[in-house]
Amino acid sequence: MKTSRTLFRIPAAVGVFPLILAVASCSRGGSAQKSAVSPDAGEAGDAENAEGGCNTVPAAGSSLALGSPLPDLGFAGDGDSGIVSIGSFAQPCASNAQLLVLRVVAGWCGTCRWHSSNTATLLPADVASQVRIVDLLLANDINQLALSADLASYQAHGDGSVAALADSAFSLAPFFDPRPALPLYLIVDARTLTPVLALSNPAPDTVTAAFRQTLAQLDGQPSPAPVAPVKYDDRFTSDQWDMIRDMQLTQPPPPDPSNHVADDPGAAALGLTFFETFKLSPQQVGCRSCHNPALLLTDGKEVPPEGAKPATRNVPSIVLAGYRKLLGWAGIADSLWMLAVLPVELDFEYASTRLFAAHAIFANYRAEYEAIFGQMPPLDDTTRFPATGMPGTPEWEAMAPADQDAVTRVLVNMGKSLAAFLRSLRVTESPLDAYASGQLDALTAQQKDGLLAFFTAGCAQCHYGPRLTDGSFHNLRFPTGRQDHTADPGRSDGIPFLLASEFRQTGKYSDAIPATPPIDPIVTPNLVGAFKTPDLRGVAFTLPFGHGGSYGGLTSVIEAHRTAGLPAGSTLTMGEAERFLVSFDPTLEPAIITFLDALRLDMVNPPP
Amino acid sequence: MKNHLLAPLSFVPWLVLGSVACSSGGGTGALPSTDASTVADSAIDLLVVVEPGIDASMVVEPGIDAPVVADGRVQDAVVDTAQDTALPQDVSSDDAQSNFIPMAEGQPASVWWDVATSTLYIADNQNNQVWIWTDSAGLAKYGTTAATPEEVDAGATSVGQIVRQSDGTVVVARFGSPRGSFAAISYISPDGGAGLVPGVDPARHHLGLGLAPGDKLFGSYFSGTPGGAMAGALTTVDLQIGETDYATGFGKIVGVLFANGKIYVSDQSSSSIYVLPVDGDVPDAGPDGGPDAGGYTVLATLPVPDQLCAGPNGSLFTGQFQAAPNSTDPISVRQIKPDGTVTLFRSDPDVGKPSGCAYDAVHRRLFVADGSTLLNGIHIFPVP
Repeated sequence: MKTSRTLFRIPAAVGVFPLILAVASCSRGGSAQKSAVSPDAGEAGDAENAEGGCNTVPAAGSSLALGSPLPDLGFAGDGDSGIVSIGSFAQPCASNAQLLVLRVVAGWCGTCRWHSSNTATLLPADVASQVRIVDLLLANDINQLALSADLASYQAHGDGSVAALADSAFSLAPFFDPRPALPLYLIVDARTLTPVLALSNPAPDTVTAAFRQTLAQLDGQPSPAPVAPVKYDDRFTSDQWDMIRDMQLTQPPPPDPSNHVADDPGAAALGLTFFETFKLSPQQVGCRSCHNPALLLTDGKEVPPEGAKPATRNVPSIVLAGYRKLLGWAGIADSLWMLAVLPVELDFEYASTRLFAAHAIFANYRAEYEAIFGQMPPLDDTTRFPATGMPGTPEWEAMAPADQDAVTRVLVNMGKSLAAFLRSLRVTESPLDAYASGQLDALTAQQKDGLLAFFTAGCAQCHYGPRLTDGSFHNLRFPTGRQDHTADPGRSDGIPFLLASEFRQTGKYSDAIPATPPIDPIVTPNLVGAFKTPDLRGVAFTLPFGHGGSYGGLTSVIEAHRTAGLPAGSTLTMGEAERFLVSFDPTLEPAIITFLDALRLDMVNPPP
Repeated sequence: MKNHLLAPLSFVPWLVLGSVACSSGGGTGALPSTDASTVADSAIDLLVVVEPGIDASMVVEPGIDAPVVADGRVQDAVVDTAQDTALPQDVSSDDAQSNFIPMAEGQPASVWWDVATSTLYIADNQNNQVWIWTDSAGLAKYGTTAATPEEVDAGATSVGQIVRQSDGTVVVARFGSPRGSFAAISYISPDGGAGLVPGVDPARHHLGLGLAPGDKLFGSYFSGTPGGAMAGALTTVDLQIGETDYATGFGKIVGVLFANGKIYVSDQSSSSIYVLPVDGDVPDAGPDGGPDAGGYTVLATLPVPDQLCAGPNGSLFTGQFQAAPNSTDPISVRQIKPDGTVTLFRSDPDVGKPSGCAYDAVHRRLFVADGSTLLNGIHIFPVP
């Protein structure tokens, strides 16, 4: 049975032995490409090299295959390093076996983060001096193909014990099956730069055992006795168990310094008023049009017909929106208040204008508004403040800039109130939370088996943490939600929308720029047709699924994950499928559904 | 549960020819040498945990258990998909083609099987079109319902049930704008002319249409705000005169069907299917309104009942186009037996957005209009 943990080993029919001819040159990985992450001279196994007595480096190979010396690969180092050659990691004169472990990771990948933050655990004392791990970063936290600038942020996820290089091209792909589960380990004999073993998302015990076995073999020593893997609750490996414990949702939403009323109860009460009203839209559209409390603040439909015009994307649950960094299927907002502002002027949602909305607030909710935000502009002066208008309309462009700003601030404050309301929503402890906290009987045996299947199928690569999401963007080649059936570019359209917005956290309407301000995202090829990974809490109660709402149940959407969505040639989608969308055993699907069905999301204080 | 597989880890020995240019260290830096004879010996066993994930016993095969149903409520979701587990993207395969009518244009909302002509009539949510399909000729455009440019621009052409009267007049209920405008009852005369039933309130959403003997038409409407209370009524419809309330006090009334000598009504507000007499002797809805205020007989309760059609042995079918509150049930087509028991007939992934249905008793097959992007077309399911 194929699983996400796959042992790639040297083919049985290895007929070509590496022919290592004496080479006099040590130019591979030469000083011209010296890296900040070049091997430390003081490493135990490379003592001779440190003494300057050994000048031999292995010859570069010509193919990427186990058993063949690696070609002269290069990876992007951090700012000062330039391109780092694989040859710079060679230890040709080491007196005993040395391993170079190339670990392929991505910033968004939960399983990768576990491995990187537990590198020391994977390297017990008996092997630590003989194993050097280097992380090869494919993409950053939001799945932009990795650049040198992304290395530091990835290393912040780790335990600081390993170097990282950028490899957006996934140079080591030939060593692995298509659509493997991350992280990937390529274990290389550092003396010859010959890869000897490839592993996909191995269990921690497997990694350590592989190091020991490989070192023993290379040194001609007897194989160490296998160590029985440790299991938690009779099922889970240590990495899985750690990730389960990290699934607890116990904290309130993180602070939002860009919204000074983010956690103000009065603002939250005003936000509830704005959530309930239909008066801000001339079309009588409101938040409640699409966000039904009985459906976990979704509308339960493929794509919402409730707006001023048919929309094109499924309504996601916003119960946990206060936790999200980037919001919307395409990440069009970098704060919750920004997301709350946008619908007012979108023609397929409120089809309103900021002037219309401001007048509606002035006429209906002035006292409540002024109690939180102070005096409203004199909107009863219709000479200065026309009944309707937004940037680009003649009425708006004729206004004084100060009046424009005053009206826009009303709109922004409405959004900040709505954000405060959504941030005030709390959910009850779910069986998963109880289980993750150590209450082992909180999940049934079937649900635990389902959780194990969830890991085995590679789901936890993207679905991890308290909301079971990486908050990143991936192309799963799911169908469009557009009525005309044209493909939806998703993230590649969302990025320019975000960058052009006046409502960003770094903009003039932000109350304070966060300590770690959001980066300016860029479009990389893998983001064409990509959409945000949804939260999984309550997911079974929020069908249909996919950005186009095309999947009417967990069965079809899980199967679509397994098969990487629509086939090549389909016009309902665009772009290439995520390279690491794991192809798993279909027999795991019923168990996964059992687990997801148990992921309840019950609001403590739902809107009335 | 978990299998611990011993997977052999083989290593490639090195054949080193010539000298190694590593002069210091007394040979300690030399690469290990071996020859082919050592290959077998070099194979070592490495304990590798290959995650099988789950016990085979927990894998549930679809379509095995009989449904457990009582009191008109679905007690156990049973999916009879063992013979038809085609994935959505598989519908283009040859086998599936014979059981599916793809619609390259439009979005099917409802279907009507005309027994006399063995023709399927299809109401299209887009383009104001009515289509027909026969086994022999396949799919073809039939006519266009009336709609103004303003209605088209507003995206307000979403439709409800379709029926065909004995003289060939095709009638389609129009939902209109979600915010309450452009609702109508439209028809296409046998000569192709299109018209609208006069006096229909465009702010009242119209979805249901039922055809009783004598070409007597029943319709339905509802109005209300999203997330708020809905008020609906069952009506009688005269194409030339207009509509008249027949029974009131419903909520979001969606499907209307004449079958078995009765009128059936599906009401999403109460998740109920009601049964009413066709002779006009209906209870007073009472002053409070509400779905149960009239005391109508409840045949069954089930999640988000949609349009209705008659099935074999006095049963009914109904679709589902949206999620049910507080439920993990997938989108489904359900069958309601005369005693009110409900079973799942087809579910995800066989259906995506099944709204309307029509039963062909001769061939014992159920046509299901599916307007999902992925399964845009008409399913043809065999009915046991």
